[in-house]
Amino acid sequence: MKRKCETCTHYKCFINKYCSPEWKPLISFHKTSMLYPAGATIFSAGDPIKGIFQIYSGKIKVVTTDGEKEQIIRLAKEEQLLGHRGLGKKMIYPVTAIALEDSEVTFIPVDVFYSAVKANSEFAFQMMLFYADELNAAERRMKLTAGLKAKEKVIVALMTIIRAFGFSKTDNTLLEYTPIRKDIASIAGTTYETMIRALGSLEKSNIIVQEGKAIRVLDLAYLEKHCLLD
Amino acid sequence: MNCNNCTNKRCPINMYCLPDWLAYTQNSKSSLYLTANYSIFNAGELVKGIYILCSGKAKVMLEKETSKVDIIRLAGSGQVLGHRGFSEKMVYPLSAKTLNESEIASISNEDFFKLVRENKDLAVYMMMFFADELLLSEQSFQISGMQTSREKVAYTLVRVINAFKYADNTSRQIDFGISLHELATFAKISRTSFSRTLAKFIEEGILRKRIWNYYVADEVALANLAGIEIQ
Repeated sequence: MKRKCETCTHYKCFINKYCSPEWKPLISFHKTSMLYPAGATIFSAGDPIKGIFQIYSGKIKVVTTDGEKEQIIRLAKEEQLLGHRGLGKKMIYPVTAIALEDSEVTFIPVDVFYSAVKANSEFAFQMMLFYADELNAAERRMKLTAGLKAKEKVIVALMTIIRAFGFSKTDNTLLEYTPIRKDIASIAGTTYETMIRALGSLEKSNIIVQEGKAIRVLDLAYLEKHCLLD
Repeated sequence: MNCNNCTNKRCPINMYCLPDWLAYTQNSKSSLYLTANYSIFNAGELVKGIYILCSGKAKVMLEKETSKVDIIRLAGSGQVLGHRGFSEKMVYPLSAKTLNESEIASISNEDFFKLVRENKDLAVYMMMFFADELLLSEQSFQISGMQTSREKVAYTLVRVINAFKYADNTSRQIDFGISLHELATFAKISRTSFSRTLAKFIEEGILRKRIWNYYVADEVALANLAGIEIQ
């Protein structure tokens, strides 16, 4: 399906927010849209950069791999950018993006993206600040996760999920999306067994409840207070 | 250094701002003349602006609770400092100190944002600069966890060369600018391991040593070991 920037209602999208009305039809003309079923790879680490991706709907995980070990470094949902980590001198995607559920992702060729950045100063300015925030978040994560205990790492993982996807619109203590347990361990940077033990300990203390695959948060204030990544 | 007739080809303001804006920067910036080992900004301080090293060398450090210091980045003439503070909190997450006598231009947040908004080439450059910093930062993390001493030393040498350039381009003399102890801190290995690895590189023909100076004999081998390019 062709998605048009000029009639889009995704108001948090950087293109919608910061590009001039003249540029939106031009971007629409060049961009393409693809449907990715859950588990499909959108781009892989090492691929040359061809463009920037924007999530129209769905949920995506961004991962780095060290041999067989996968570390989730970001969770993203609709209206967010993907593939921006590859822009720079090397022009290679350093990470892999995988759909967590059926997702629609639009693609903007890199030359069109650059032209839009050059022609829209506010877009360029906001992109710079976006990168600055990403750099800060990456360094905070690196600085802290190395010294955290397993339970603290799992709390950071839970807060990462809450901040990325929030709570269900109909049930405000139930996570809107609970990744599979293996992915929660990848976000936390712990083994599966350690993560299961930490979730059990949080459940015992009435901080969370595990309802099948889903997780309900009973004490958000506790998680916020003990999320040492902030 | 006067922005109107500056010849520094590594300074983003000089390279990407229009002439009128160079004059504006010259009038609005503050020039700081600092001695070696002088603090430029400290972690936790509010971000007042961005700094450009007009001349000299600086190190950017993470001071840990254990009073241990990790050197995160080295910067040479024309390079930007303090950009890591631009975030929602507007607080410097790291500290920076001069390594030798340096001239530093301090540009306020307001003026820097004005420059970025009004000079599209500067805006694109800054976006790409942050993209590179993000990549480099994640690579550094992987390196500290994964690599051998050889790779760590090669990585450190390439970061030094990319920050300070060669002292002499023809002979490819490395301009270390910091002590062996600090180089080892940057590489996250002991000073002894660092020296031993340098000696090994000389044996293998990757480096040459004449008196106290080190020269790169095989750039390709060094860059391959480091996993990053020499720029």
